[in-house]
Amino acid sequence: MRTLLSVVLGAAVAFAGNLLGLWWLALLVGAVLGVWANGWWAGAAGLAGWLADLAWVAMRGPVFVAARVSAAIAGLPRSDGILLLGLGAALAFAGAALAGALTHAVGRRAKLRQP
Amino acid sequence: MGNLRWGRALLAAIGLAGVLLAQLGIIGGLPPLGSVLDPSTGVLSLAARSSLPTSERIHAPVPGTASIAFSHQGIVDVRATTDTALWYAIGYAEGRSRLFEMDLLRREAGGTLAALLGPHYLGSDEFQLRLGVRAAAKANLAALTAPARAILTAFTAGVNAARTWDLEHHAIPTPYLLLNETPAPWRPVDSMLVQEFLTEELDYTQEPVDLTRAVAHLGLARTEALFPIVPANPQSPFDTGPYPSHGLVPLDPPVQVGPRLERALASIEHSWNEVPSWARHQGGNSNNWVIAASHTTTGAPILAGDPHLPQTLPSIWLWLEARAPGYDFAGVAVPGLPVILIGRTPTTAWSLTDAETQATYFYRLTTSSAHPGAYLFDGRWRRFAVRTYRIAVRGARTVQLTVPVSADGPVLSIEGIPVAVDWLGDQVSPDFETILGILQARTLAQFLDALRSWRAPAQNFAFADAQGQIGIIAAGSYDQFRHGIPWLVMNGNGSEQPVGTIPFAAEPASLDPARGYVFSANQRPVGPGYPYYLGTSADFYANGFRADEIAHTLATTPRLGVRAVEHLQTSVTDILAHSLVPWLLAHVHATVGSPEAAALGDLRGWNDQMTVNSQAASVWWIWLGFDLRDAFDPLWRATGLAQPAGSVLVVNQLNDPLLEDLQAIDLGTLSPSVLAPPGKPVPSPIALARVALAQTTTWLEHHLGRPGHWAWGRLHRREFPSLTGAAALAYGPRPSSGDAWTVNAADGGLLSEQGPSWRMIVAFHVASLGILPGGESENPLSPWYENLVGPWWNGSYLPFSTRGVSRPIATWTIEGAG
Repeated sequence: MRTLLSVVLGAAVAFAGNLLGLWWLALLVGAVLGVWANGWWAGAAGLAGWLADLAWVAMRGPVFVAARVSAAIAGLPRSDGILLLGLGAALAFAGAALAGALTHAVGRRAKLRQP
Repeated sequence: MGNLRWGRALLAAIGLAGVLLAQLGIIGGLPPLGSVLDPSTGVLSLAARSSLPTSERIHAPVPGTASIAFSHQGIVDVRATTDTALWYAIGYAEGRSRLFEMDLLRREAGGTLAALLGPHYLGSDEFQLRLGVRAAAKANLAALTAPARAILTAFTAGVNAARTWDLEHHAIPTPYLLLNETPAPWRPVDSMLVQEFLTEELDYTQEPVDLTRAVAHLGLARTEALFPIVPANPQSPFDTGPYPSHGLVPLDPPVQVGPRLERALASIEHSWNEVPSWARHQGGNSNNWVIAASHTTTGAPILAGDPHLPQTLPSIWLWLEARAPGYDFAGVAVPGLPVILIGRTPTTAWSLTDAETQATYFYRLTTSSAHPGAYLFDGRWRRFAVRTYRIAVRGARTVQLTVPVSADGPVLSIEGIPVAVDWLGDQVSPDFETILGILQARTLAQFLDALRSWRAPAQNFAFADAQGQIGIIAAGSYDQFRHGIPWLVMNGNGSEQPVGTIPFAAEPASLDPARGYVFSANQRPVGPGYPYYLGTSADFYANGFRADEIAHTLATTPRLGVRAVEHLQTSVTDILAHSLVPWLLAHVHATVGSPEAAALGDLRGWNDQMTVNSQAASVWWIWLGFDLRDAFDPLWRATGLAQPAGSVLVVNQLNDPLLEDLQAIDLGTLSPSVLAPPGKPVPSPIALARVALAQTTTWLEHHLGRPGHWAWGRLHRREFPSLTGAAALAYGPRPSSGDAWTVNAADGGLLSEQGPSWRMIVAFHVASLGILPGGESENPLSPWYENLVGPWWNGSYLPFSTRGVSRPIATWTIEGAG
C-alpha cells in the first residue's frame, strides 16, 4: 500500500514537473522512489506522470495531430507521429525506472553491509 | 549476491546515462528529447494552440491603448488611440502569428541561416554577405529619419513582447523546440533586413553574367539578336510617350571573356543557386491595373492588383487593417515590417508590380600580384575595402569570410578574375519612409511626391483615388551609362561606371491617360523610342503576353465592373497560344488516325484556355517545349554554350526572350538565320514544328497514355510548400489550371510554386475585395494556417475595408501606460 501511494505521489510530482517543463523531475522522482520500491514501480510513476500530462494537453487539443506535425517538421514521415509519442512514453518510463533501479540497488547494497 | 547487486547498479547507471544523454540532446543529431517530448512544454503542446485565439488583456509600455481583433477568417484588425500604440500592436500581432517566418526572413537576408539550420545553408549565408545585404540593412537603418526610427522602435517592442509571451507560455514555434533554439529578440535592423529581403527578391538578377558567357560563345551580334534590349514583340507598353528627346546610348566593345573570367562567372552563377528557392524570385510575374471612372460600371475607379511571388505556407503576406489618429489603412504587410505594401486608405488604393528593370551591374576588376589587396581604377592601384564576417554554423565550426569591396561594389566571384557587383539594393533607399508617405497621401500628386525618393526595388506603382484620379509610375533608380555595355560584365577600371540616373519626371509613367486605364504586367513599360536605358529583354522582363491580354480587355470592354475584373484576374488564357496555334495548324499536317492528327484535332477546337481538363493545353505546352529546344539547342551545343540552372541561358518554356524570338521567327518577323549554328544551314521553322509535334505525341503517350487521356491537370500541378521544408505541411500538389504567362499565373513549369500571392480589387464606393493563398497563422494546427487557400483556388474573394472587422471572434486589448 505504501508503495502504491508513493507511486501515485511520485506520478503527481512528475506530472507537475512536465506541466512546468521540468521533465527531469521524473528522474528525481524515480530515484527517490527507488529507495523503498524497485525500478519498475519508479518507472510506472514516471510514465504515469508523463501520460497524465499528455492527457492534460489532449484535453485542450489534438495531440496526435500535433505529434504528426512535429514528426513532419523534424523531417520524419508524418506517420511517425505515433512513434514520437511512443518515444516520449518510453523515455519517461526508462528515465524514472533506471534512476529508481540505481538507487534501489545501491540502497539494498548499503542495507546488506549493515551489521 | 553483493556483486550481482553492484552489477545491476552499474547496468542501471549506464542505462540512465544513455537516457539522460538522449534527453539532453547530447547524442549526435538528436534534439533534446526530454524537453522536446515534454507534453505541456515541448512539441506536443502545439495541440493546445490548435484552437482560435481568445480575448486577452496585455499591458505595454506605450502611450495609449490598442486592440487587435480577429475576423472569422483570421484577418487582423488593429485599432489604437495613438500612433505609437498602433505600431506596437502591429508588431505584437505579427510576432504572435509569424515569429518563425520573420526570423527566417531576417536570417536569409542577413546571412545567419546556417546558425539555425546548419551547414547546408552556409553557401546562402556566404552569398548574402558577399552581396552586402547585411551592410545595406545597417546603412538603411542609419539613414532613417527620427520619426521613422521611432516607428520601428515601437514595432520592435511589440514583436519582442510577443516573443516574450511565446516563451512564457511555452508557445514558441515547433522548429525552435526541435532545434533547441530560442528566437533572438527582434531589433530595428531586422526590419531593414526584411526590406532588403524584398529588394533582393524583386531586383537582384544575374543576367549580365549569363549574357557575357553567351557573348563568349555566340558572339555579340547573335547575342544581341537573341536577347535584344527592345524585345521582339511589342509588349503593350503602358507609357507610350511622347518621351524626352535626350538619352544615353552606350556602345563600347564588350570585355574579352577568357577562361579565368568564365570561371569567375560560373562561380557567381553557382553561388546564387545556394540561396533557398523561397528567397529567389526568378519568374517575373505580377499584374496591376486601374480603370478610370468613365470606363467602369460603378462610376468610380476600380483598381486591381495581384503580386506574383513564391507561394509558401505561411504566405509572405499578413492581411492587416489598421487605424490610429495618424494612419488608416488596410492591405497586406510582409511580416517584419510594420506597414502594408499593397492596399488602400479611405481615399486611395495602390498595388505594385516589379518594374524588372536592370538593377545589377557587374565589373571585371584588374588585379596584380605586384599589388596585393588592390585593383586598378582610374589608372592607379586602389586598395580594396574589406568586410570581415564570422558565420556561425549549427553543428560545425564557425567560418570566417572576408569580402573585398571595390568602388564598383563587393567582389562576388569566388574563383578566377575578381568580378564586383554594383547592385542597387546595396544603396540606401528610403523605402520605409516612402511607404509611410504613401499611407498618408490623399491625391495622385501626393502619391507621386512620396515616390520621388524611391530607389530600389524599382516598382510599377498603380494608383487611384476616390476623386477619380488614376496613374501608374515605374518608380526607382535607373543607372545610365556613357560607356560600356551595361547588360554585360563591364570593365571595372573606372571608365564604365554609371554617369547618372533617369530624372524622376522622365521615369516611365502614365497619369490620368485619355484612354481611361493604366496597367502593368512586368512588361517593358516603354516603347522603342524611349531614350533611356532600362535593361534588356533578358533582364527578367516578362514576355508581355499577360500585358497584351490585360491591355486588350481594358481597351475593348466599354465599361468594366467588379465581376469583369475578377474574371480578368483569374484568367487562364494563353495569349502566346492564341498567336502561335493558328500558325501551327496552318503549316503542320498529320496522317488521319495518327496521334499527331489527334493532337492537331485537340488544338483545332481549342479556345486557348489552360484549364485543368483541356487536352489541347497539354499538347500546346509540351509542343512549345520541344519546338524551343529543337530550335535553340543545336546552336547552344555547336557553340559550347552551357545552360547553368537558374540562368537565362536555359532553353525551356520559361525563357522569355527565347519565347519572344520563337514567336517572331514562326510569325516571320525575325529571320530563322539567328538559329543556324556556324557553318550549318538555316533551319525551317515549319520543319522544326513538325518534328516537335511528333516528339510531343510520343512524350504524351509515354507519360499520359493514349490520346483522350492528356488532360492538362494530369501534367500541371500547383503546390504551396511549407517554409519549414516539411513536405507534409505543404498544400498540394494539386492539378492546376494556368501556365507561366496566363494572367492567373502558375509559374515554374509543370510544378508551380509561384503565382498570385495576393489578389485585391478596390472598387471605390462599392467594395474592397482580397484573398491570399494561405492563412494568417504559421502554426500548422491553427484553423487559420491554410483556410484562405480554398477561396483563392476557386477564384473567390473576401471583403475588407478600413472600417474594421465587424463581429470579431476575439480581441486582444493592449493597455498602455497612459
